[in-house]
Amino acid sequence: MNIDHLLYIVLFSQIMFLSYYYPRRMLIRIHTIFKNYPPNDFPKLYPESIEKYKKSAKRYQVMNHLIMVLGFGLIVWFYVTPRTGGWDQVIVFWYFMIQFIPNIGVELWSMNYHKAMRLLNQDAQKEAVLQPRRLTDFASKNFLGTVVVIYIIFVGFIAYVDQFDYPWFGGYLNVLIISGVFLFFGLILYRAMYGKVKNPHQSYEDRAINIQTLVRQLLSMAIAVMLYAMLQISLKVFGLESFKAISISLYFHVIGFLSMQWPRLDFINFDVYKDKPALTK
Amino acid sequence: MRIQIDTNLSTPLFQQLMDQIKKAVMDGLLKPGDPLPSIRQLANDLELNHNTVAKAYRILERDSVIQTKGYRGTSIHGDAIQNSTINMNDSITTKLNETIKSLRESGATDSEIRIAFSNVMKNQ
Repeated sequence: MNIDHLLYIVLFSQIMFLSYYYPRRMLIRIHTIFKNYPPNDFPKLYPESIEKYKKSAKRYQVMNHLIMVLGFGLIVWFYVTPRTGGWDQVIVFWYFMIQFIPNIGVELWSMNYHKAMRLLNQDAQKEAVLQPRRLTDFASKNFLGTVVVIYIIFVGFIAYVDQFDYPWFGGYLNVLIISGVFLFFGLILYRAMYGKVKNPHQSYEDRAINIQTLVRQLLSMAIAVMLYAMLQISLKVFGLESFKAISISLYFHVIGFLSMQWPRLDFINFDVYKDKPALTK
Repeated sequence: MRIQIDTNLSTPLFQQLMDQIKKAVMDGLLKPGDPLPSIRQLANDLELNHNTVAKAYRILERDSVIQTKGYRGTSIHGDAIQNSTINMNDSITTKLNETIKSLRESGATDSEIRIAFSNVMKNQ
C-alpha cells in the first residue's frame, strides 16, 4: 500500500464520517424528538408547523448525500489523474469546507427557529439565577490548564523552528493566526455565557449543559488545532509533505467528532415546552 | 438562588429586582460576600434592558446592600442584612407626609404646596 492508497482510505473515511454518519446521527436525533415530543403535547417546541421542520431535515439529508457523491467522485478523480505538488491537501481542505456547508445551514435554521420561539413567547415571568457564570463552572481547572500549557508549548515550538530560517516558514504569524482563532472561540463562549437568551423556554439547567458542551468542544478544538499546526510544520521540516493531505483529513475527523458531542436527549427537560404559546390559544 | 420578575405587574422592574435581592438577603439565601452576576448577565438572562438592572444595582449599592469591587465584580455587602430592612421609599413617604401635614397646619393650600414642591424639584 502506498501513500496514495492511504489517502483514498482516509478520504473515504472522511466522506462517510462527515457526510453520512454525522448527518445520520443528527437526523436520528431530530426524528426522535419529532416522535417522542410531538406538537400536540409539546407545542412550545414547534413555533412553526412540524411539516416545515421535516422539510428542512429532508433538505439537510439530500445536501449531505450530494456532497457524499461529490466526495466519491473526488476519489475517482484522484485515482485517474496524476497529481503533483501539494494539491491533495488543498482539495481535501476545500472538500471539508463543502462538507461543512449543511452545518452552516443548520446554524442559520437554529437562529430562525429560536427567533420564532421568542416572537411567540408571551410569558410575563422571567427567571434567572443570582450567580455569576465563570469558565471554571463549565470546564475543570486541569482542562483549562492543559490548554494553556499546550499553547505555551506551541509558542515555544514556533520559536524553536523559527531559528532555522526555513523560507516557507511563517514564523510568529502562526502564533498570531492561532491566537486569532482563540479570540474567535472566546467571543463565541462569551456570547453563550453572558449573551441574550436564545431559547426563552429552556430551563437554566439545560442552558448550563449546553454551555458546558460548547466550552468543552471549543477547548478540545483549541488543543486539536495547536497539535495539528505543530504536526503540519513537523511534516514539512522532516520532508514528509506527502502525508500532509492524510493528516489534514484525520484532523477533520477529529473536528467532526468534537462537533458531534450533543447533550443526551433524556437529560433535556422537555416539560418546559408543554404549555401552549399564548398567541395560539 | 433564583430570581423571578413579572413584566405584567405594576411594580417597576428595577423595584422587583431590588425587593427580591433584599428578601433573599433577609431570608439568608444570600450571605455577605456572595457574588452576584454582572449587569450584562442578569439583564440578558431576564431579557431586561441593561439600564434597568444597572439602576437596581446602583440603588442597592447606595443602600449598602451590595458592593462593587472592580474586576472582582459585585457581591453582597457585609452589612447587607441590617441595610435590607431599611426601605427608602417608606422613609421618604413618611417624611413627605409629615412635611405636608405641617404645611397644611400652617395654612398652605394643596395647590400652593404642589407648586412649591414642583419649583423646588426643578431648581435641584
